[in-house]
Amino acid sequence: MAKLCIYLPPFASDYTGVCSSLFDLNCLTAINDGSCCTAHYVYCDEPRWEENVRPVLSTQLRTIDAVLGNDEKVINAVSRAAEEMELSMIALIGTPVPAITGMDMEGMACEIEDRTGICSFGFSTNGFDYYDRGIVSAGKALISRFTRKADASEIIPRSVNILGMTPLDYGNVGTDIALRKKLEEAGWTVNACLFMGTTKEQIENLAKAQVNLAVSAAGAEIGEYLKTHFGTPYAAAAPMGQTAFGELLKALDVCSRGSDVILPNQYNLTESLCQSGCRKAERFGTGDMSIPVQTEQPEGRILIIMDQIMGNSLRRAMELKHPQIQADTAGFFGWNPAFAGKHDVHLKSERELLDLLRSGRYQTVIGDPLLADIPDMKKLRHIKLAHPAVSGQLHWKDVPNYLYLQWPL
Amino acid sequence: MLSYYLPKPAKPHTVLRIPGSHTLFIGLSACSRRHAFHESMYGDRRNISFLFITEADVISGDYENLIGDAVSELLDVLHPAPHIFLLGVFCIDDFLGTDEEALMAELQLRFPGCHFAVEHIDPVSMEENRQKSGMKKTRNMYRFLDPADRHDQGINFLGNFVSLDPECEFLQLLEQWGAGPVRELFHCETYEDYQAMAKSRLAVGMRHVSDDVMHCMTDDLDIPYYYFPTSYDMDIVAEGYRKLAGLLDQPEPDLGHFMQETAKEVEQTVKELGSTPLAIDCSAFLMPFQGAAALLKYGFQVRYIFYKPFMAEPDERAEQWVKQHYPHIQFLRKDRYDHMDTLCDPECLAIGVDAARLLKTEKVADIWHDEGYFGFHGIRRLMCLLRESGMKQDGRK
Repeated sequence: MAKLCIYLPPFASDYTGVCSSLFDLNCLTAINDGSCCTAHYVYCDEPRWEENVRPVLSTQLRTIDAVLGNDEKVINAVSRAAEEMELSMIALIGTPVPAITGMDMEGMACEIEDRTGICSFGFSTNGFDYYDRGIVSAGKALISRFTRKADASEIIPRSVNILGMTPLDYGNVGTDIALRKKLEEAGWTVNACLFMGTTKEQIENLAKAQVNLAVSAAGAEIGEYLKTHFGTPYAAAAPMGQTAFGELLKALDVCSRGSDVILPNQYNLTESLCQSGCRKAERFGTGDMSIPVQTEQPEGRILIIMDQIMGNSLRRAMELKHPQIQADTAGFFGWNPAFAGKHDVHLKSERELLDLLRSGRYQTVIGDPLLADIPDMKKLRHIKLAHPAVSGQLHWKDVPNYLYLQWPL
Repeated sequence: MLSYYLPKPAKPHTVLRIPGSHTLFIGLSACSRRHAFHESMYGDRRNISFLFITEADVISGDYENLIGDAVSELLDVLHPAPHIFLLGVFCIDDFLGTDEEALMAELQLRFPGCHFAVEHIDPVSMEENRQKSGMKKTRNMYRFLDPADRHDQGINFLGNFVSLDPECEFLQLLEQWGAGPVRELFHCETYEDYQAMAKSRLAVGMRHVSDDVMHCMTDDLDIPYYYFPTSYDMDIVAEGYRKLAGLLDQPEPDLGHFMQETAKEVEQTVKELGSTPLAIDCSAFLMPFQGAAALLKYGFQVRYIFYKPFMAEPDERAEQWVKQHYPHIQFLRKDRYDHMDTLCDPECLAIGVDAARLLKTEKVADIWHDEGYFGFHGIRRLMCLLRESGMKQDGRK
């Protein structure tokens, strides 16, 4: 049955995505829960918790308060705590129980802001959605509140915002730092990175960037939002190895001329988009770039299971070395059909994944180490690439720095 | 008050599992993620699965109907098929009005060869039933025991997650008394091993969570019980052994040798640590106030006691005694965020890693939930650890 999950773990949830996004923002993040949800976030999904002290706190919600709608208790507790801290903002995060009993997170946040004078957000996260929804919610809320419009004269030439970079996709292994460095070495000014190393000032000045680089599906949705509100074009491309980085730079160059670019673009997809005119996309050459240590061609069709933008980018990086390679992306999380190849699949359940693995279409699967728990994986070649939103703390140490990815193909 | 969660120390954990059982967690994926990780880390992943419910299921109440289908599929897929299903439900279940009895009856009817029980994982109700919740979970672990025709000399240890150190005198005394084997759930490899627990002649509750199951052992299985948690007070330990001997129809044991050895260790440790202040953490001692009372009685200098609002073990009497007699000791909630900035006392020797982190001291006696510490042997082991931990960071060692 579709709702039964025997082999895979439950995935990182929407409230986790919000909290992860706010981590660097000097934000009192009050998770409105009994205690489990906070424990889930800090212990399962926040690799920065061990080394960083942040005011991410549980409201210790109790049955009687949830049933009677005792919002005042939460508002008081958060307001009192805020008085003792120097904060840039406050966020009240919803969880399943307040969602079921109908507590109004946004209304409570307004009340907290009135009392404390500190900018406050309420997130109606409910635990039914996955982390990417939380990242998008946090991004949109912060942008709509803080980001200032920029005149043409304020746009910083060759500047870029990195969007959708969180430990839930990239771990805490330095990909964010390496990406910033590489972009700067290539002559780009990194105007902001959402959401690792993020500051409130960066969010205020997001509109000053010439282009946006969305490195995950959540990032692409934030990119769309910024494009709609500020007209900034974006490239949806994840860093996948040093050599493929050249393509990413080309995408930014194309973007800086005012076009959105979907990278890595399966040619048929790009062409179809060009033909339909729904998006002005550019196609750029394969060149002679190759991926270090990629010495032999993988056999048969490959299934890549990860974030959609990262999966597409990985496929593209492999195509650079083996133009004839056949790979499809599948993912459980944020999914934009416009970015999907013909055989790409948005998975809704473990059952759908099992069906895909049993289809006989694939010989190789690239995806999280926990996929190995699925008996059908034993017949397939499994290239392990840890996705923290899936395997969380179990495989934080196995997450690669994607700038220096050297996959064992 | 808002609560802060200190980073968790990496510790080995024991998974309690009835052989042949399977846990089906029913709820939102958000609620069950840590259970999957926990079981993966400690080798029990194959014995759990998840039934995710959607907002539509919550509104329609249809999730109850899904459970039978999930069990049916699990029986098809899992080999060997489980014959006990523990159904784990979360906080939101408290608000959905699940008719637990009807559900159990329906499942029992549909799957006559299987047994079912519900486990509530609902911290939202902590105020009302924190201890009851832990007890119910523990109770579920033993509810499938069938009464034995006759009892043997076996002893059940209940509520513990780690076996006693083989050097512990408790095991020697049991042997002297002709009692044994010691039976512990986490050592049961087969369902028969598990059922053998019903044959034991005495149950010893090692932690408060076993309180409910101890009573059930007596009521349902005719096994008397004795509650004997870890204590660092020699007199309490000695009293425990005397009472146990009585329950096993044995003469009062001669504990003089153990007590003398232990007193010597205590004396030496008090002397070596001198005026070094101690911080006691409730992650180290499940009864931090009782532990503090014992150490104060021996002559140690206790400066801090870190506690949580919901303590795992009842410790109120000792708490009152310590607060009355040692008002200078700082009693601090360890989930206060501001402690992360305000506390600093590097000269302190912390018993427990959380206290060490909060006080920013490198002197730490790393104990977790008293595990491995029991009886006179436990006190001696504690003394040894305190000396080592105190000296190590002093440069004396």
